Amino acid sequence: MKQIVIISGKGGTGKTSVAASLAFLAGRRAVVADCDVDAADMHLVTAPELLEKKDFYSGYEAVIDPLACTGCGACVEVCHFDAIIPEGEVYRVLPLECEGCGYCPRVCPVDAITMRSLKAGEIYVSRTRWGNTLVHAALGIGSDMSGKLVSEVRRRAREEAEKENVQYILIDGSPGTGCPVTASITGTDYVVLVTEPTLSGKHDLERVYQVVRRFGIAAGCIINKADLHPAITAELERFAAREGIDLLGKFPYDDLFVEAVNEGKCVAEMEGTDVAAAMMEVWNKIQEQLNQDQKP
Amino acid sequence: MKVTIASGKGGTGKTTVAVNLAVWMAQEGRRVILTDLDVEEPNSALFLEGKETARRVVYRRIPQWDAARCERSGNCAAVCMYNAIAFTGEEVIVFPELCHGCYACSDLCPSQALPMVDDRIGEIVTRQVSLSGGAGIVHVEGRLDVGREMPTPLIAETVRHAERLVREEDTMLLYDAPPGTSCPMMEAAKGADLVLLVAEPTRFGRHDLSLAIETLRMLGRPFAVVVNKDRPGVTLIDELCADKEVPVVARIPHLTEAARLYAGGALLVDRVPQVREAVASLGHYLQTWEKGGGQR
Repeated sequence: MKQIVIISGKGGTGKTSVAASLAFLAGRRAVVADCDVDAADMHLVTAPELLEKKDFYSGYEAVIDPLACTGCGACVEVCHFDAIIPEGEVYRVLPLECEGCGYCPRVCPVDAITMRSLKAGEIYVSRTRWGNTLVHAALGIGSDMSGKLVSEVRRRAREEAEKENVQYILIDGSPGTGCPVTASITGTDYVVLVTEPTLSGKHDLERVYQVVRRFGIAAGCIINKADLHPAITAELERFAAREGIDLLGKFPYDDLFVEAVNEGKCVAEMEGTDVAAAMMEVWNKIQEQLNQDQKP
Repeated sequence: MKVTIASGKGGTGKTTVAVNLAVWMAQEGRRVILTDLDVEEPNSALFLEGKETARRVVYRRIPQWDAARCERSGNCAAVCMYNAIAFTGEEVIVFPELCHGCYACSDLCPSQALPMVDDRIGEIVTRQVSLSGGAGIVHVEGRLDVGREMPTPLIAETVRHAERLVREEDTMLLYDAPPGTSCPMMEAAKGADLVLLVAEPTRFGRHDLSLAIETLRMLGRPFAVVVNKDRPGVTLIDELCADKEVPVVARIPHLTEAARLYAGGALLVDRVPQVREAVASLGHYLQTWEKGGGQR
């Protein structure tokens, strides 16, 4: 089983449109994991039927019992997150500031502080209208556990993939270069970088590729909106060639992407269009690359 | 006044709005400090030519094992809630990427064998940007080192840095936030007098905007919506905003010409009259908001 992750560095380059299209083209050969848990959108085009829903608990927050608290302030002294404030004679924890480190209960002389386990989000297993299993999630409002939730979505997707004995896991990653991105790409077999010829797109691609390179994972790139700025497109192509990144395809700046999303479809479903044909070619190239790897 | 420009979805035009609003306000004679808090992928400097005036390395504090002092109690690993410390019986291993800097292991070590030391996470760069006609902007950028996974402490420090640069009370502080709805976005929004949510009229855009609205409601910050890439007849964002009773305060039209200019790093307020008009209406909205003391 091979794991393919789609990332972009910059948001809005078409990452989810590509991920959904690959899910459509792979059909039942792939389990899909939506790891853009901050802004999970895959379900909007795959119209999945919900099969399973589970709460995901991760992290803690301190709670001070106002009846037990003597107002000594020992907790305030040790908190490095300014998460404890006075309230009347006693103290109170600000849930948004609390990092759940568990230091304050260790110094409370009257054991007035407990650590409460937090619901960080929900994880869903669904069936897309194309028949693939989709594992997705909703991050709890205000939770800082996106990296952990990504790992859990991937673990659950792997379980499903093994059960169904599928060839591929397709992962829609998150934007940026931080923890959720690392959690999305670690242990995958192939990274698909979706970029665009804008100064921002190029800058963000170069940064996120530094992360990919550290993991030593093979990568390919898709240049979306390629005709928007031919000179930057040429620079992106040179960057890809220099770094040994496969050029998987180029798409024009086309309203079709927006039209498809607003019709609840992925671009690969827009029959008879050049974009749909090019997307098929991308998928074929990715499969070729992965199968090549298997040869000695 | 402090205004954070945010969005649930990436690529909706946060940076475009932040940069162009900053330029328009400076051209109107306002003192502006524009701060890029998208520290994983900071892009706003690509649109503004400036002279670097200061560069500061940002550190956080993490524990460092002192093998000679250590009495092998294993207390450090036992108190760490983040699994950032492993104790093998012989050795203590610190995993910096898991450490939240709570000091519990260090303070509670019976032999003071885990002193807290500096750990570089990124940089803050300050630039003086000169605009045509003699106006200027102070530009502050937080930039997370590639490979570092926790952006939030750097975001907090970049905000503090920008606020220390304020000399005149009427300074406009504009913050370009990271995308998403989790901790980094909240850190960028929590101190704002007003948050502008930039949304694009697609189903992805609508869904992610609704998550961002929930997040800001929980934070208790006032906010308003700016529609970017606005298309005649597409009312996805307007319907959501009417339903959630959120004001739509400006609309930037979808123009291929604007996308091309953006790609090459141009300032749209100076080049595209329709964009200038939209940004001016947003600027006027902020001026009115300020005069009304935050009352709409």
